[in-house]
Amino acid sequence: MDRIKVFDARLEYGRKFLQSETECSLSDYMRLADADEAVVISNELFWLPPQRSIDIVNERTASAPGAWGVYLLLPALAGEMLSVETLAVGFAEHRIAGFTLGNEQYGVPCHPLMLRDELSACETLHIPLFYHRSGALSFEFLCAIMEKHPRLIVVLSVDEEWPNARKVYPLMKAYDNIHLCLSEHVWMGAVDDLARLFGAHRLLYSSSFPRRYSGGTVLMIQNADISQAEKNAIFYGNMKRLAGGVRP
Amino acid sequence: MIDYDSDLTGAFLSCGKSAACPVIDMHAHMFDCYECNMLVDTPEKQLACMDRSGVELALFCSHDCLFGGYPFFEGDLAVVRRYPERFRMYMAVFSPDLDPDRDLSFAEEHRGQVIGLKFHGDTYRVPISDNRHAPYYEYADRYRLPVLFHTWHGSPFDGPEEAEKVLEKYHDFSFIAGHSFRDSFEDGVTMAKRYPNLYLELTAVLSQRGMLEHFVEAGLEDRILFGVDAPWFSYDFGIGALLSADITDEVRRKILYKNAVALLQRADVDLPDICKRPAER
Repeated sequence: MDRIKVFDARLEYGRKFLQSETECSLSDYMRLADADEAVVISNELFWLPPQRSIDIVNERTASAPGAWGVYLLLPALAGEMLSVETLAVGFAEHRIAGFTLGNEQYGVPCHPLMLRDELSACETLHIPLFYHRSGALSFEFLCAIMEKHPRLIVVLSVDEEWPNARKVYPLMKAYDNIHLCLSEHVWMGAVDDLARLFGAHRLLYSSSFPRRYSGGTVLMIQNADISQAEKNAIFYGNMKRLAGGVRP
Repeated sequence: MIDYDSDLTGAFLSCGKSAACPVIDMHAHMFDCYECNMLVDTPEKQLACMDRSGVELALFCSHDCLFGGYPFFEGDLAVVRRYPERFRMYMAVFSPDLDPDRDLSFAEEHRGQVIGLKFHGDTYRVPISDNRHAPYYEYADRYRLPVLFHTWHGSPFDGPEEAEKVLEKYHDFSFIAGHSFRDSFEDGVTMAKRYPNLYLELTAVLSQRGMLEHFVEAGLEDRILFGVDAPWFSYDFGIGALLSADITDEVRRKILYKNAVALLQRADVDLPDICKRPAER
């Protein structure tokens, strides 16, 4: 069996707040995760203020072929980060795939108004928002964001593995720019059903490594009742398209 | 990392299943559920998923029986009657409405279709060691039946301490720790070494990378059983996780069916041929 080429849409890496685990290099980490390419969510984003975490992200993407970085989104008006438009100019050079949110850690109220300029810029420039449903980053907050920014490209991951079609399907139906990471959507029949209802082009391979085994999502996609072209798109093509689609 | 050199990996990734390695699902449910909607909500849909992933036999207790007890036993039995080669039922020991004479008569009358019992202390908020369960344990002990327990870290109803109370008293039935005492895995390992009739089941274990290897390193490879809480979770996800775990194909085979066959034969369960002699197919 040939190795399956994958682009992991969400790979967490780096030093977590007040933790001290030894880290291997990002390249080795991606190899352990079976990832040919990966959107790397640096854990430092959530405790090291943006102007410094940006440097770490850029160093990482420079050191690891196939790694794509993500920056944190905060209100630029407060002077903690450059505007989205300014940062986006360097996205291609530094292989940056988009932004993510850390409202809870940084104490930014979870209301679309707080990030209106930034989210509008992401919408205009086709910059994906990597939204991880967890804690204050709720489905309700995402709904509120999408109501204000309906063309925003979103890569959605969640922090629960329980079957949650009731929560995800209405959102997926309402906004066709929402794309779903599959590693926590491991319910029986999920890939078939999601592809049938929303199209394989909106589904993304992810592993949830190191917490989970990468082979779980791989076999789930490989054995789904969809075409090989759709499988290839989920494994690799869809995330590649999103990551490379920024238009500064 | 995915073990691309493994024969099983090749078979599962290219065909979705392995002719030489049938899968026996030791922890399944059935039908829709109020807690989370099941996309696979009929026996036929569940069978289709089983066929696709090479799962030859599933032992189940429907959500209806778990939450409603005796009035729903016939519903599960009807599924077994319709697909006797593919499904067998665990009879729910429904703690809010225990009637050993009634329940065990049902089990006795349908032995072979009812192959074991299912306890869910956390749902009923009744400790599994409650004395009212004694007739059920005595029945299971007599026939060395598999008894599937929901087990979970810290639970006063079915956590490690409660399990130990039961295991100290009953040594003949197979105590299947569903979820392997999730988040108290070390307790599961310790108790499995102490009690030879304790088996560790993998639902919710395979979503935590590394735990399976720990079980195997502890010498428990003959006491691990495959299950994914079907139809909650995907067979492919569970099997794919096994293919990524740092274990051999022989251990994978034990987990996927050999250990289950041995356990079920111990209870004189008449297994479909396909589960007994996979290498001859």
